Amino acid sequence: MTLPTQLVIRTLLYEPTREMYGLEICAAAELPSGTIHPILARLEQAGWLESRWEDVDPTEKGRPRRRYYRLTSDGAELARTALARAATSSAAVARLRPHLAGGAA
Amino acid sequence: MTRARIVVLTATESPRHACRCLVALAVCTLPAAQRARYAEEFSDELLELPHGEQLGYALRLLGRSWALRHVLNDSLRNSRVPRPRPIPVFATVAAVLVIAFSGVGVGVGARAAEPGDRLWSLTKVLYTEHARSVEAAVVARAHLEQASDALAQGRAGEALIALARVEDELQVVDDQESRAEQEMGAEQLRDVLAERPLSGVLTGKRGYR
Repeated sequence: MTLPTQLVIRTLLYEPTREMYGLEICAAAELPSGTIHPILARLEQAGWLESRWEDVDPTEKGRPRRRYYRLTSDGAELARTALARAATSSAAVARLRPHLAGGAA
Repeated sequence: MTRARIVVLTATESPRHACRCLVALAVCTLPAAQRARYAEEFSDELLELPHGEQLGYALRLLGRSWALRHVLNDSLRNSRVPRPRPIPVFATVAAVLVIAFSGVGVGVGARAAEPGDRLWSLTKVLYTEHARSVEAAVVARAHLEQASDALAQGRAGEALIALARVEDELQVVDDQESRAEQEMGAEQLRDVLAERPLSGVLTGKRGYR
């Protein structure tokens, strides 16, 4: 799992039941705005995330609706497992490819 | 007149209008069925940002639009039927012998074993191709982690080498789901790398973007 994906998941897991919109997730994950939509789409496609449109009238608000994202209950569980696995997987290289252990270079 | 030229012309008239054009270009790269959703989502985000941040947002959005398109088209690519691999003669004979003398349970257990398990050495004998695939998937995932860590610490060259190793290992991974997941992860990292000014690093023979 890549670092940006981990940051997004950690952000969403901080309050798993809370809905957040794209810019909010970027700010909380300290990622540049406009960079997380592929990650969100991938997680949504995998069933880890669900999204919905904000229930407001754009004319009254004077802006388009926000798209809110939230972890599904299964997704939250899988995300926790994936984060834990990501923390331990680097040891696998040393075991299976000893000549490559000690860094990628 | 091309879309890019329109953007250049309008940029001189109004920076805000140029940002809208860049966002529109990003939306144009997405699959038709998803454009309405992302057009509205991106427009909202653009409007909520301070003026000084809008151009950067629009450029990053455009830079990521192909990655997003790739994700949205994934379901089509994953529907490809994988070509079955021939079963090696040696593995077949070994499997028959083990099942005959030790019972079906051992053979099945060996099929499900992973590196580090007690049955792993048996797996490598009985299911040579499968074992190679499982090992490669584990190693690829670890290299992906190395690439991610290296990138986070600013070691772009090391990240690229690790990504190249991910690509090599994935060549023999049979599990389509695992392979697709890791290919997408590698692509995300390459996207991050492509945004950084790395002299002489992004033009390797593998053609990283």
